[in-house]
Amino acid sequence: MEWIYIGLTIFFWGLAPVFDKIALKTVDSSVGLAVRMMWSGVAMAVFVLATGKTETVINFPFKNISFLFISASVSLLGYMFYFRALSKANASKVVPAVATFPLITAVIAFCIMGEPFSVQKLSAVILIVSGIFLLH
Amino acid sequence: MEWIFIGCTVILWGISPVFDKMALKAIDPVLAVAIRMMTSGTLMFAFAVIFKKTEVIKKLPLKSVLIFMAASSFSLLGFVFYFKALSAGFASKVVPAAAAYPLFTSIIAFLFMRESFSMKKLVAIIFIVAGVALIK
Repeated sequence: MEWIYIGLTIFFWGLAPVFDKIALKTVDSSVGLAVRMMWSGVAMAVFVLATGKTETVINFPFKNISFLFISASVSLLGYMFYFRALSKANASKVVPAVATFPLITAVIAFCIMGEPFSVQKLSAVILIVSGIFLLH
Repeated sequence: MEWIFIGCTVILWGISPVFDKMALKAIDPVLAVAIRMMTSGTLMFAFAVIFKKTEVIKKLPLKSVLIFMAASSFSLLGFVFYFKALSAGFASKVVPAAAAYPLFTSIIAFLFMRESFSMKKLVAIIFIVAGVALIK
């Protein structure tokens, strides 16, 4: 059953940047990002209200909420650059290139959070760097 | 120029999950996505008001707004199925498999948006997808 869900995830996540690219042909990237994010915000607010999770969200520890605010802000800045890149270059180049961000997360996790580094991760780094070199 | 934007995106998106990880110690992942999206929506609304983009947004062609809304909805639907897959199967299987979405974006971009295709590009994308799958 999980493969149906995985397939649908790939389908929807793969399709979204194509629509972004189409709309960005005529719309400024920051304006486009504003429309996209405001819509996501409203949709998720409706989801929280509809599922009766408002109380749960309100009662979350302040420290954890703060981390999510920081994460959302940093990610949003990333989106600003992503939309700039998407408006200037092909989706088939930008989307695979930005998908390499887990490499940065792994490096940070290794250097700052002391997470283990394995041969598997080293192979991954070599593959990603080779891919980016070829895509450049 | 687009490589500078891609680089900034990768770094910022790479940093962001570190804060998510800290927040997720006490918060349900689906609600964390909701809080992140609501934060992003609120920040982009503030951005639109401060930089006087509200008039530009109001004057956007309905078609462009609908395309951005579709892209946003596809991303959110992707998240829904991603979490369903995670709850139905092992993360070690789901997370790497879902990382294949840039390949799907590229295929759609080649087929429907007539973006350039080369064997070098295909190999690059396969390397990146394989590397990201391994690192996750």
